[in-house]
Amino acid sequence: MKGIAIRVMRQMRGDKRTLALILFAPILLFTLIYFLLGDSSYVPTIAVDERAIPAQVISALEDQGANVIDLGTLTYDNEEQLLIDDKSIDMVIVRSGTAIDTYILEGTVKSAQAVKALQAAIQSVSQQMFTMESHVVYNEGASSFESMGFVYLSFLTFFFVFVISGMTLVRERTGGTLERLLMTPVKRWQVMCGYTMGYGFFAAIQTVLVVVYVLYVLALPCAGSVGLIFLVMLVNAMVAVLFGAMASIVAASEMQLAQMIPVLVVPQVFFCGLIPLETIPFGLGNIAYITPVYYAAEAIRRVMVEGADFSGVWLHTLALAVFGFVLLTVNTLALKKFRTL
Amino acid sequence: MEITVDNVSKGFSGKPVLNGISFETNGGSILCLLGPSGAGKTTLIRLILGAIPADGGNIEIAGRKVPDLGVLQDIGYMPQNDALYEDLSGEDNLKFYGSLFRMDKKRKKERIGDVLKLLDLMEDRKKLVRYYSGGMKKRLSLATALLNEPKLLLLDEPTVGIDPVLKRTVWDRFAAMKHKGITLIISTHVMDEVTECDTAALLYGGKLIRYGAVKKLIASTDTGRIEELFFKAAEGTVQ
Repeated sequence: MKGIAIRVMRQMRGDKRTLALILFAPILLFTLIYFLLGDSSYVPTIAVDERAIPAQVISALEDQGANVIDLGTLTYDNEEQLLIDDKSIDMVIVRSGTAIDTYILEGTVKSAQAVKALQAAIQSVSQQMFTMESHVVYNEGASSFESMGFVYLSFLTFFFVFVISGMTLVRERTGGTLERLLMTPVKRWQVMCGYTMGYGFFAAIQTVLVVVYVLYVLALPCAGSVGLIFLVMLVNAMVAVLFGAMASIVAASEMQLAQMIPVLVVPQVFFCGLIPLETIPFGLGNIAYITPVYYAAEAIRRVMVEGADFSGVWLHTLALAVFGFVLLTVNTLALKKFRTL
Repeated sequence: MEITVDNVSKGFSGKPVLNGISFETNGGSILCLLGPSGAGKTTLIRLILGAIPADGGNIEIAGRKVPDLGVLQDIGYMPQNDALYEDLSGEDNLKFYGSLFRMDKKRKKERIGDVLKLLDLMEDRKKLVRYYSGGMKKRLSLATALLNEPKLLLLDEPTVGIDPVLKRTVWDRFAAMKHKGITLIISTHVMDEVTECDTAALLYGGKLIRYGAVKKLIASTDTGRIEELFFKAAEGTVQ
């Protein structure tokens, strides 16, 4: 068992590309997500019929940071055509009788910025009649990156470890080395534990790098203990190794393993907090309970967002560990495919 | 090491690959599993190793029924492809396999030195296997099979893809091992190689068409060439 783990480590040391993929690719992705989902400095441009819209609303829009232009200075046939012809305009606001009509090109993030500015402007105007203040229990004022950080932490690290362990083990099969090592007195469970230890070592380094980078460089807020995040992520990474091993035993080639990713791994991202389970129709949200990433994401969410201590996440961590144990047993049995004993 | 193969059959997906194979071989000899591609040679080797279960019949190695993990401690196996870790050095490949045979550090070091010297790989032991030539990989693969000082060596097409000079060297090494009391079971589809062996099991279409001492088998032909027995099998005239 120790021999297999040491061999995996030596092999990985000689395979710089794989090493870089497991250690640095998640960091690169986290940096991208940070910029893509962090606070946007985009200034929406809103064309307003200044003769018909109350000056208070226009002034409130400007206060919200929107770039307001007077519709009267533009030449256009109708509002829709104006949006089609001039892509720099995100929203058109006109008066139609007693109503205010707004036009946007489509429901993109860019248009959403204009909608957000208008809502804020209307709210600030209405405050002259009554005051309204919103309160959020957890993560008040958080960006999308900050609110969804736990999803990316659990899913991305799982994904990379799965790919590396699955691909390497398939290569071991197709290269004949798995069969050869099984023609020695080594026990099947020792093979699986050896692999898990070997890849788990790199997964642990990945965990430390990612958590330190995300919490201390990208400053993702964490209300609870960082040590608990490490613990959950580490168990999650071990499960990913075993999940990859299971897929590699079923797959006959690297191509087949790649084909399994959209079926076995990608759907897990939808059930780990990206979409609230309660809002998923037809009870499909219950699928989450058979996906390991859900338990990791939920435990990380509780620690990071709610500041939960061990008593708040032990059940989820245990569920992950049970997944690991079941996968270890299944994989050990599945190795019978290559050696009867 | 004595090996008894008794009425062994094996099929895959309902298609028979080996049918009623029986033979016995004694220690300190070379048995050749001879036959064209698809005759069932590799399947028979995998059955002897216990990698796959037989559908019928029994295999015993030194009186122990296969599959048996303990038996694998005394077996050296060289698969058809080299089955080496290309991103490890030759020495690291040997260290890894040594650990699987539960060798202590001292013995592992001694054995690695012995097999590297025997197969002329000492100078290149630190080089990554991906930079080895085809012949070097073959020798390293054989070195790996010899690492645990096996009493039984199972070699699946060990001379495929190597040059005539290396082939001669390899057969000389096999002869030397035989004289040390090691039993060798070697599969090949190269008819001429049968003369290097003591006994031969001729496999054709999953059946054992002839088994016996190589000299006697050759003597039983009209042309003095072992191919004749396969031609007769193909025509359905073999006795």
